[in-house]
Amino acid sequence: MAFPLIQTARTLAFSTAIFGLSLSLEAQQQTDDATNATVRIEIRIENRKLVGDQVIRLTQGQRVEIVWITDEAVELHMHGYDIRVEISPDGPTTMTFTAHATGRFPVTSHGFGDEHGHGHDTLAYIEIHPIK
Amino acid sequence: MLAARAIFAFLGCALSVTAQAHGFAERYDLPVPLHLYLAGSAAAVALSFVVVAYFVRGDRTVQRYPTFNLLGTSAGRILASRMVRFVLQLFTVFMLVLVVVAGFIGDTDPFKNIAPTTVWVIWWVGFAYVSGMLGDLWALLNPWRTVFEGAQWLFAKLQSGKRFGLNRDYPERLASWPAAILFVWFTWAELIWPASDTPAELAQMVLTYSVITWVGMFTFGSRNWLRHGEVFTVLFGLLARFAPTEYVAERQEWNLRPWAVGLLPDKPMSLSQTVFVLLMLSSVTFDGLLATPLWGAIAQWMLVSDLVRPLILLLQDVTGNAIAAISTIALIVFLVLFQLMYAAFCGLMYLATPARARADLSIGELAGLFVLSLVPIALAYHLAHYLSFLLIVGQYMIPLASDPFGFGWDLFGTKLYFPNIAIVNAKFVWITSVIAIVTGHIIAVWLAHVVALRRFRDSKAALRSQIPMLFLMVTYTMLSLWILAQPIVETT
Repeated sequence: MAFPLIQTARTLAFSTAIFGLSLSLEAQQQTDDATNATVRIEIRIENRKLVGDQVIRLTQGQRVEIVWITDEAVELHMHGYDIRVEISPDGPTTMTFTAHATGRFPVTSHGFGDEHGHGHDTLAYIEIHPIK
Repeated sequence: MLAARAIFAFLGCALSVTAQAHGFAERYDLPVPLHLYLAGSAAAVALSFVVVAYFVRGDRTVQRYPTFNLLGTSAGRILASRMVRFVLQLFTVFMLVLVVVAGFIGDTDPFKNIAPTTVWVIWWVGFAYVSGMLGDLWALLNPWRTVFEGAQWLFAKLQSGKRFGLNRDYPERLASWPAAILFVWFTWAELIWPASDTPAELAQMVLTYSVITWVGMFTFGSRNWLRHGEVFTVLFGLLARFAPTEYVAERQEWNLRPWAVGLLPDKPMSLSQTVFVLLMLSSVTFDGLLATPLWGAIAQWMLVSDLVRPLILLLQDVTGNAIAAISTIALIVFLVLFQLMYAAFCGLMYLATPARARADLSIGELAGLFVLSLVPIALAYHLAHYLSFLLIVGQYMIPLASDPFGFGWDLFGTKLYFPNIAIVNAKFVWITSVIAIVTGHIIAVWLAHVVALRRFRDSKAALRSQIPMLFLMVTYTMLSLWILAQPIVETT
């Protein structure tokens, strides 16, 4: 009687673990199924800012092609996935990856015409959501 | 053209290093989706009533709890043996030395030097997990204590009869204030200090803290300083009150016990201890707030406000830059507000409790009596907040173990390992976080009720006293959930 809470806590912890495990297994499964889908997104940078929404939402498992169009040369870095591309006004540059990991990943710009290297800014966030 | 390109490439490299210097490592958590946030909040409120209803039905004071002595088992005896302890203690001393040496002689890139990951990820975040989930291992493994007591032992061997250190009486008036002040310093260094991930600066800080600790131990004796001045003994000890193990010195027992019973105090905590607990609670929340868009908006406002600007200008030379100055002001304001908020709720509790039940308890004593019951909410938030961070950034220890100084070594053949960011799925993190926070909340409500019943005897008075406390806890839990539901943004 004295400690029904222990029982509850134990049950809760156990069911969390099982639930979580099954979720991650399920997500893994679905990732494998969804890998065929390719998503192509065009993103335009003007005046050192993204045109439109700063947050790009994708779903786990998608094959992603982001086409960057810019009015100024810059190096982009997608954190977490650790992808770097150099883009320039000469033509669009495509960033290709498979969205295997969920999360919210900042894309930072390095050296927007700034020779001294102070131009580090978060340009966009790429959110990769788990499959529903 | 080619030259320009080379210069660009070179700049690119130089820049990526500066980019990593923004706070040590990033969190890539997705915000908890709205429906889970709402479900968690609703569950917290609903289950609060379940706990209350449970207490309405009679005497639930819990004076004793079941324990199981692990030293009665052979596995327990091996784990607690002098040999195992000695090896572990040697290891933590080795890690302390490694951090300082690596900080000074190793690579300046925080990801190529073992110091930042060891201090901020493995030790700070990891040890808080260990303390809350397993027990007070820090009391045993504290490298500062090991070194000091080793020196004490050696001194006694060489100069038989003489005592090492000054062994002054610890001034009672100082209470646990040294630990509280050092904790604010540490929190500031962790959350705001721009150089927190610069290995050499970090090593400098660790060294400074080591000197403070050893001077404290030398002056007042190790036991006194550990209890009142060594922040991490106080901090991890506090978290370990939640853990399911305890060491009972007088009976030489190492027990398994129910979760959280260590948070039921026999007597009110002193003022300095109460303040320390509140500092711990508020710093954990402040950490989360710093990554929310709300903080971005407040920082923006502070930057242009005529009221705050003179303060920022004054502070930025000390703190390093303007954003650190702003954060420092906000940290202090938040820590103070949190204390005042708790004091106000204790005032309400004082008023809500019938005078005959509360007898001669003052508001301060009430505060000291109930403050520990808030710890599970903070601990649950800490677990939720850092879960994926610990699992992802913790992996940096694999390559760093092979090449701790960034000299290009490959001691274990793991130098080239790159952390797997897909190690945990967001869905798993969300659900674990929400369940942890709701569970922490229920335990908190339960603890506060047990404390009230023990003190006030009369169960009606106890329940009445808990109305303000329940409000405070629901608010605190909602705030934790709200932060988790916010997208992480970096304010620069």
